[in-house]
Amino acid sequence: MAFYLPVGPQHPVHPEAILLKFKVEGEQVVDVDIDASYVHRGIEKALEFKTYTQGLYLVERICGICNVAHSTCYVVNIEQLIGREAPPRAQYLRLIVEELARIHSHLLWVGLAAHQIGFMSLFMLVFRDRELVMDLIEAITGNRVVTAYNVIGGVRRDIDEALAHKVRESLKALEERVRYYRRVAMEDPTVRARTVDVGYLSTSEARELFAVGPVARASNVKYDIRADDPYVAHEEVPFNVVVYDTCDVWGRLMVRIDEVLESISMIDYALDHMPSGEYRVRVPPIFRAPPGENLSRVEAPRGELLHYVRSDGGDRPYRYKVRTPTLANLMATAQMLKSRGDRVVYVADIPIIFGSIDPCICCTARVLIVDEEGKVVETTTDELARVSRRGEE
Amino acid sequence: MSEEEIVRELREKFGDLLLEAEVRRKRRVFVTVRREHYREVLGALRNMGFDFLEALTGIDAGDHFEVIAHVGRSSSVSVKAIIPKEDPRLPSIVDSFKGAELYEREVYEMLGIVFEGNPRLRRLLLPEDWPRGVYPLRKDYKPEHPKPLR
Repeated sequence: MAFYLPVGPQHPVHPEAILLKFKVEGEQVVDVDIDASYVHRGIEKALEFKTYTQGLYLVERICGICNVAHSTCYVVNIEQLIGREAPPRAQYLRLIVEELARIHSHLLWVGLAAHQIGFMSLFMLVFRDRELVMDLIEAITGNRVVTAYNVIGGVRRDIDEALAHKVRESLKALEERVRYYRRVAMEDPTVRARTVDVGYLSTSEARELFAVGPVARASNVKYDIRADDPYVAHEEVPFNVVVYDTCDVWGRLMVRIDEVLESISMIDYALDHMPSGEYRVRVPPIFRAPPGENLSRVEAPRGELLHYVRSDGGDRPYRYKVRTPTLANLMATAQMLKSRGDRVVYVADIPIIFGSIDPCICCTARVLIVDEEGKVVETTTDELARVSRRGEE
Repeated sequence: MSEEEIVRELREKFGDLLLEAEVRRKRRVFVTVRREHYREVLGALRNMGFDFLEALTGIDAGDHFEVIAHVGRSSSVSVKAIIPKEDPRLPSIVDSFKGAELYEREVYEMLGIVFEGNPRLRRLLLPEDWPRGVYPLRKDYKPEHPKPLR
């Protein structure tokens, strides 16, 4: 006999509002509905009422954790649209801050994953070490979380030699810690027992359902926008695309830890090889973009982020589209959460499996999915209307 | 496959059916078709190896709607379908691009474009008291002006 088990919209391990409606038989999950509509804010509509410069600040606030990815994607998009590319030094500075943000995001996830499997001491240790990166981000950009570092035409601040030295020293300390966490993930029986063969997503499923980012790479899909479609200095800074073929939560853990190590070496290399010169070209605060359209893609910590802009020649975008990585991964998540064949999903594994995509619901702010028996999942948010109204001020 | 080769191969297959096919910049190809040929072009691209749908963008372009399917991994091909305003319908691609389901639902909900053949096409995101037939990303939808807080 089957029961329906709601998880969310409020749940201790997922602070963001999302409703997972499970159909369970005993301890086994049979089917799942995901409703991510609780935090829709109508940002795409609101962007049509903002000038290009104002839009940057709104875009950064789509998501706190991946604000650097969003702002990078936005400024690259607008710069290509108006034909004012950022100078080479800015490309390097963008790469450095983006990789720092990736480190902080991945470490945050490793901590949360430890929390989700009940390994609290690991959670606290990782969060302590994450502070090293947070301090660096603050020292470089002036802000801990929403960095406001990218501007159209470049970046806001330069990195001098003293600061570069501080970054190198901190990252050296961090690298040692991350290597230790890597060993924990490889060897610790608690971590392995909770992650190996849990949340299985085969390579063909990952391809079919358009999984992106670490989720795809842990399922042996070698896809990383930084390598496939470089958007800042990636062509000049060497790095490896981390791929695992275990197709489970453990693989996603290892991909993220290895990517932190890759990011550290990328930042080291970029600091040593940064070209000198301007880090910003001035673009007037209000400008008209020529009519046209442009598409830009960025490898956010959670996967491929896509922005599309259409201009009609005015000082505001005619249409701005954002496709976030969590939205792309939701179909794959629903697949991971279902028992199929001899791959049984237990209720106790729900938090870590859902958590393994590093869900960012406020990023997604859109909806989905799979509803058995064609039932409509009810939502009561009026956020869209409320925030859209703010657009015309 | 280089961007120029993609355009050449599509031109060979479809000739004048493509209203527009050009390389805009490195790794960015834009193709425009009428909606009757939208599925065929995407099917051909799929056979050429572009089996990854990145996103669907719906646009209210004034006198018509546009739905843009962004496909590809390294090179991104954007296939734009022109849809008349008085008849907002487009064939669904969920049979060949399985993960397209939620993208189609989003466009359906925000612009009212009906994807024929999507078995689960229904509203999901807007509040339950959102009036029927009001589509927020259409240009004739104007958000209300905010009332001052007291």
